Amino acid sequence: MAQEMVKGAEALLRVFREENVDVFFGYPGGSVIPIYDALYDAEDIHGVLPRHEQGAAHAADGYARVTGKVGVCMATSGPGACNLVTGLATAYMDSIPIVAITGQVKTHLVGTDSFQEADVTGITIPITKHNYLIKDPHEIERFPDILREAFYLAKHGRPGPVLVDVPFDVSAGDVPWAERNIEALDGYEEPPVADSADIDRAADMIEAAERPVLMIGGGVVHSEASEEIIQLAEKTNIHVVHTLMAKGCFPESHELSMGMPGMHGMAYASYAIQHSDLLIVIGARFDDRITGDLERFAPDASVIHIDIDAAEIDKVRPATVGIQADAKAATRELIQAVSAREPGAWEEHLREIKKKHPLRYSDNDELMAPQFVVEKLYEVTGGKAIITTEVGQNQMWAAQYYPLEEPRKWCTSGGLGTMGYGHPAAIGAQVGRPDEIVVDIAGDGSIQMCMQELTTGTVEKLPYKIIILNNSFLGMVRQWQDMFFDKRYSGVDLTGNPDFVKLAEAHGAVGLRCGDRDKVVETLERAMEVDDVPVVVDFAVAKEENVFPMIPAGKSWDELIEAPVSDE
Amino acid sequence: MAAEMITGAEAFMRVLREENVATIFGYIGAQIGRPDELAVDIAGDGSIQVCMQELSTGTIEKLPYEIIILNNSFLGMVRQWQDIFFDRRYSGVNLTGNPDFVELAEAHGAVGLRCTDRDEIVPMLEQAMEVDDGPVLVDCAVAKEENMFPLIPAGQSYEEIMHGADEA
Repeated sequence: MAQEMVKGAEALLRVFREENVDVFFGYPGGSVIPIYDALYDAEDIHGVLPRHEQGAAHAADGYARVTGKVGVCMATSGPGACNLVTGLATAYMDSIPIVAITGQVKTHLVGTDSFQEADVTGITIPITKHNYLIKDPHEIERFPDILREAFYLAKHGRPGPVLVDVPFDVSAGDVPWAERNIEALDGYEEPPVADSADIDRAADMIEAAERPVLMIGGGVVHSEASEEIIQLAEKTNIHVVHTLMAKGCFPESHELSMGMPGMHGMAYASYAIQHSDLLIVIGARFDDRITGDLERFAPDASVIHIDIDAAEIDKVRPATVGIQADAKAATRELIQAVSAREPGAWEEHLREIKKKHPLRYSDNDELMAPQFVVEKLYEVTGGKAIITTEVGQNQMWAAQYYPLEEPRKWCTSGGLGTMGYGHPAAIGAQVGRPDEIVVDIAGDGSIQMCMQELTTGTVEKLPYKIIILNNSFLGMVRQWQDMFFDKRYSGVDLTGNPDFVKLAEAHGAVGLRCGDRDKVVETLERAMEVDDVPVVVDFAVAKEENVFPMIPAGKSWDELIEAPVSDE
Repeated sequence: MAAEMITGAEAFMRVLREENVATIFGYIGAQIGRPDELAVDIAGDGSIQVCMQELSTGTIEKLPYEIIILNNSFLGMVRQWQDIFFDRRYSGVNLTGNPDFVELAEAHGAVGLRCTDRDEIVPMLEQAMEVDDGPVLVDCAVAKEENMFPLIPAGQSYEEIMHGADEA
């Protein structure tokens, strides 16, 4: 029986449909014209056009974080693909499932320094989970399966970005089409189920511990293990700290929530970890922003480390019990194995520490405190918005002052720390969850990096809000120069910023300005009322406010600096 | 004899001086490199949005370059290929909804000019050239579906050269 032959581009769209992809973020160009031509007839698949491919990558990322689906971005060859690099590295560091489709020159031109050719697979090896290129036209029949594999790899095991580089003659050429379900891949092992002996040992350790703390990381989001974490914490009455990546996985209003530890985390969270005798770590990787000086990190704690990636276990901190497994499944096992535990002296002590060392800031400057703006945002949105952030002080204040109660409402570039991420991520998040309020908490430096995407937001009628904590500085770098380099401010003065309100209006978006504490709430409320275009709100905030607490880089709990006490 | 110990950053600065590097940029190199000459960016409305944030840099550094936007509200070259080779099935190239480039320029503190009339071009360009303390952006509304000729289609030879629309 003759096999059905379809164009490579058509095969791509068919695999999109198999994978439930009805939207992607892409920018056309010569080498992807065949794909865009196939799209012309596809009414069920919408391509969102950013104004820079970096916007496409970050939007696919934001989309993936809030929906749990694989985000898809597309770019043409050469410069288009190169413009995806930062976005891919961002997704790679945070383990976000993305499939990136890049055009490539024709197979017989690959390697000849052809027009708009770049060695994209070479460039992206270290920042993708895997990548593919069909170099030989005889392999073209593998194309549909390669695409299926890409989606499979993006979402299975530890998620991550996968890139498929598609030469023009592959998408324009003919491929045989067959339905197929990928259930396994040669050479790729699915993570094992947790060994029950290890689970029992872990349960014993929990029972014997006097000062246990549960630390959850981004893996809990990917595994959708929130419910299980709550059950485990409640059965054992163990306090839970969450890394930046896991914000929302354990409700921050829960009495067992001990907040976010680390460099700019709550003092009480870092205290809990530092003085624990048992750390139960699920889906976290002991990032340096959490540990500070490793030699002095949690000196008395034994570690139970549950992670889907065996490479993370014993990488940074040796585990007494290391369990390579999916977080949800392993936590379920642990809940069964562990005995119920009542709160004791340690839990009582932690509650007191939490009361004694709350987050605090002063609002004495003529200009309002940036933390105040985030608090008011929380009030006006009822704590229910999906929050994306840029990077730096804005990111830290968002993490500190906007508590979250559920997962998948938080998009931040934790691992790579990419300025400019928040705006296109908000676009992706709004596309993924159109009926919710989406807010990008931004600094004036970060927001300029992907400003061009305001056009995308307006054209697509996405009513996300950008809240600029505008202090006319590259705040976080200024803070380090302030605290560690004698206030020798160099390269951080952003005097000469554009007029953000006019900028918004030039794009057809709404621009609002606020310099008055008393007008913050009404300005935010006005922003929330707009439902058909993005809103940019420019808040003039205190110029030299610093993020506290701070554990300086490479230091430890002993060197934690809390906010100066206000003289009010 | 003991070597002088300096920080890595200081070593970097010293090598830059050895190499006669006075400015480090990722910015508008041409104008900085030859400040007394006229620098002009000939742009499309698609391309110019990709690095629009640099208007702030131009204003702060007081660089008087011109940006001439040939604004046809399309990703022109891709549209042309779709026009000539794909039956005018325009996909992903419609830039309706572009920002107002003049307002955008002004929001950055730069000068913005708009030109919609053949007779306005020369006086407007002359006006642009007179500004000497910051960037000038000139938004020229041009024919939307003008194609670039001659054209030798990709991978073809000189024998297949196309000279004009009638051969498309």
